[in-house]
Amino acid sequence: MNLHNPLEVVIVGGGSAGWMTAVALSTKLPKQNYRITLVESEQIGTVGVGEATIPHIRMFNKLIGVDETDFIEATGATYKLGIQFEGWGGENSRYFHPFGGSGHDIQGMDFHHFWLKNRRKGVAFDTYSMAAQLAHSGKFQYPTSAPQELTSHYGYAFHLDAALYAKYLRSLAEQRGVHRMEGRIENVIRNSDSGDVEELRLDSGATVSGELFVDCSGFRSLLLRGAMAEPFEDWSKWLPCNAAYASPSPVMSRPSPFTRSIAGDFGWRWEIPLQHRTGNGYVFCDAFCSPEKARDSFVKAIDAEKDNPHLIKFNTGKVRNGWVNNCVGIGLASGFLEPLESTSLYLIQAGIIELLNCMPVDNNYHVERTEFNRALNLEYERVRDFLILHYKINGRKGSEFWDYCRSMSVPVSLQNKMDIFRHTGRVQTYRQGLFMEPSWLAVYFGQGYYPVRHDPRVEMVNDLEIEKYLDSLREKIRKSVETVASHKDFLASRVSSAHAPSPTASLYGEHYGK
Amino acid sequence: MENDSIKEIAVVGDGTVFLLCLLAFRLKLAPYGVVVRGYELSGPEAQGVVHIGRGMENLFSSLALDTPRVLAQCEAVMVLGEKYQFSSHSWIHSYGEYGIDGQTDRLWRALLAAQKEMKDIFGDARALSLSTLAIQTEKFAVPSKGAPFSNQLLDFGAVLSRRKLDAYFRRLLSRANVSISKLPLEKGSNVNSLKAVKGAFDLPEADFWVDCISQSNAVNNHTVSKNHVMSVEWLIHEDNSAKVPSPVIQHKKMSSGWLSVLKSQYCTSYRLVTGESRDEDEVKVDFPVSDANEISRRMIEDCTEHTPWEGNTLKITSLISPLSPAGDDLVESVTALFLFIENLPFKSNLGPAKKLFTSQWKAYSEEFLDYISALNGLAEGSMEVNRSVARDRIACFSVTGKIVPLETDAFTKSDWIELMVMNGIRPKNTSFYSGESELNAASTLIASTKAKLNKLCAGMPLHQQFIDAMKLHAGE
Repeated sequence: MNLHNPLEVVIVGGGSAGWMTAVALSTKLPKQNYRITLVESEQIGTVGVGEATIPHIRMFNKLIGVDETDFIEATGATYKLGIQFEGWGGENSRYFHPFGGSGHDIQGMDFHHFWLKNRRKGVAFDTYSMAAQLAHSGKFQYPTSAPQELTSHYGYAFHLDAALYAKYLRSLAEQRGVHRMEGRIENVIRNSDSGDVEELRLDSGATVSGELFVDCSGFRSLLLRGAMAEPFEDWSKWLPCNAAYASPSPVMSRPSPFTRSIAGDFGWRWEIPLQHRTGNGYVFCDAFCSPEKARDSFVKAIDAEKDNPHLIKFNTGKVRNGWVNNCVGIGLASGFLEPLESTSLYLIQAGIIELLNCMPVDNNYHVERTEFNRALNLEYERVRDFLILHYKINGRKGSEFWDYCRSMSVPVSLQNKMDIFRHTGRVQTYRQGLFMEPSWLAVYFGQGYYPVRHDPRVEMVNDLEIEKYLDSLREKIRKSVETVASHKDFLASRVSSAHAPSPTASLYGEHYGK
Repeated sequence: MENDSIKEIAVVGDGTVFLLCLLAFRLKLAPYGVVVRGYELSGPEAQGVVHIGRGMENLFSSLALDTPRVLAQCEAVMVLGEKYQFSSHSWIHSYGEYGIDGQTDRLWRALLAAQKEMKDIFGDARALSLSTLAIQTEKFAVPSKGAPFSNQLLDFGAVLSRRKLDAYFRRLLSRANVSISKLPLEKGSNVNSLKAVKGAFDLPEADFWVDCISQSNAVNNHTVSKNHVMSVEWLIHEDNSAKVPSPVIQHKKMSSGWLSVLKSQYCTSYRLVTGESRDEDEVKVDFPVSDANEISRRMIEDCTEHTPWEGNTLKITSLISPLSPAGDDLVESVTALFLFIENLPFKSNLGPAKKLFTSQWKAYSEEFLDYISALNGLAEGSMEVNRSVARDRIACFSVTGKIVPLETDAFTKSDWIELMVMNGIRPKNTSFYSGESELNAASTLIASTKAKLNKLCAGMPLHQQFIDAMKLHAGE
């Protein structure tokens, strides 16, 4: 690739990935050095991934200079404190994966060891999570930034309308100089020597040439898996679901500040409250359940018309490398895991950040490409392991699908982590990667995967002392939650208020990284 | 479950790390009913100095030690950074952050984007570190509540008298009724070899053993085997307190390794850390040391070759790798100890805790050695970095300006940027500050930060004044 100044960057595909990429590049790259074109066709629909997000979306909004209230208004967003998992640990089970931890460290030891010692008392782990308790009460307020206060021990994200989000981003990107071209791509022309993509030919007869191509074409992966024929690593043996029905339902009278993930016989169902509607979906594996059966089960659950649900087919896995020659895949074009933990928009964001970090400045960009691939491969693998955990330790008995998931082998990296937890009660942590200790604990405990032992030091702490501490913590959380407004009222006040930045930059509460 | 908990830990060894280990266990495990006993090898009285690097205050507070008191009683000279001298250039590794609190990342980016010569970037960098400014002007102050700077901005360490520090630790252990039995042996290779000596003494059974045998004076010849380094220390007694040196440690790159000069108030220690080929004469030319001054000669095993935890014994090992500078004498040991305490195993099933400990320790030591490898490889512009991860890290920064994320606290992102920039590496891609307005904002940020730091430094007392004041309280 011979880079010119300005460098021609061509983004293939609109939708969330395309427009997120366009707006981020146009915001962060100097205009004199980079010219950005986005090619999309209005005839091609978008999958509309990521109606539910995780707290990192706020970092992205900050990166592109978006006012949070503007964003909430434009995308019909509601606030999100975590995910409520129903039926995953067994038919009538329920647990909450909060954006934040539970309890405080005691005498330098992790809180959960004390909870484990007291577990037989039957108090759920998420009882000690401020985010979970706010969510259960249908309440929301911004976390504070005082680390010693319970009110600072959580983070938040949003539920949003992905189509509105893409539209919102498009207007920002175009204001910032991104050139949009309408057209369906018919041919991808590659250089016969280098293999680099040189030009796209559109159905209109127009051509688009460029030096760096960003594939945001969704599941079609037009450039990466198409023109470049990059191999796909299939992870369906670990994440077997391969289809989803999606359908809206009427707006909730009192939108909950959390996503619901409800396990059923053949898969699981999501419920995402927005300001103007409710997003629903049913994820299943067609090897265990026919699409018709899944659709019937879904429409019955959400009380929808039979014709309404829209079927999306997918394969879990990722391309071997997300950056090949001069093509970088962002979002679905590069890989797809599962909507289970709302990571789709996050993985788009992670790809964009790495692309910005590794943006080529001349025609020798082997190092940039290597680093991009290293970082993204690690990111995908670590998210993958966490998602597999949900299936592997499910507690649903008597269903062929769930029985398969429980008995399947898992990646060595996950098996090691599970074994260490099983025998020590400790979570093997890492810094590069999305899900931290509180997330792993929420799923382990929520789905009934307990260690055979906890920290031996806890044995030496008096039982009454532990019980007293846990009682007082529970009471403090209860009192704090009492004073908070409902999610609905908070949302209404926020949308109508003056545009002001949110009060804290912490993603998962002051204890867990910014 | 209670019956399966570890009830007795035996610590075997000698020297400062042995005493520190007993203190840490006494503080962290005794409240949970774990009995800690020490078995000390006989040996000469401690000599020389102990260097504790960045984070010393945190280390002391984690051991419930009163930092000002330890410093005053142990004849400390303060340290704000380490100076690396090569034949072609020198640079200071600052213990504190660059810029004002929280600005480090932005400042580096601004600096690297500036259209300046590399020598001007070095100059600017030096002016953007309060630690370096203080070193250059021989100032020192302890960041305290109400001080205009935090301990991130002016983190510090010290060089202390080993004899005094050991005595201080012994007093604390005695007050805490920690039993220390003397073993009638001057040297030993490891705990198991000691256990095998029948009849001479009895080592009672324990649930777990910690091996702090320093191998001090265990090596009397000049052969350094593979995977080992030799550390030789010479000591000169002199009164440094009358004219206190700048608060910095000096490491000089020799053809055979590194020579470090460490000064406490009343003595100066010269340490040579060397790999297979050694030329001590080279040292003697540079510094006034002789055989008479030699106080220790240690062979240190490369810790990356095996796990320090075998069976029911943990070896507290140093992280000195071939051709590394002297490094810190205690922080790595304490890191390993605290990792062990966090992963305290059950008697009947040591495996899972060992596995977790080993993976965490390996990650830490790998990142430590990556930095050392880069430090050596970048010296003299040779760029011969012998560890592939470190090489990739340098390559990535050289091009993108990105620091591949670190998994442990062995060294920080800022340490890596400092190391690379100060050795002349400038990222190819500085597009993060390419617009005119961004560049202007970057210049303004650099100028205003320099002015603030200069003002802060001007208000600090001289290092000499700090030491003089501390000496007044030495008897308390």
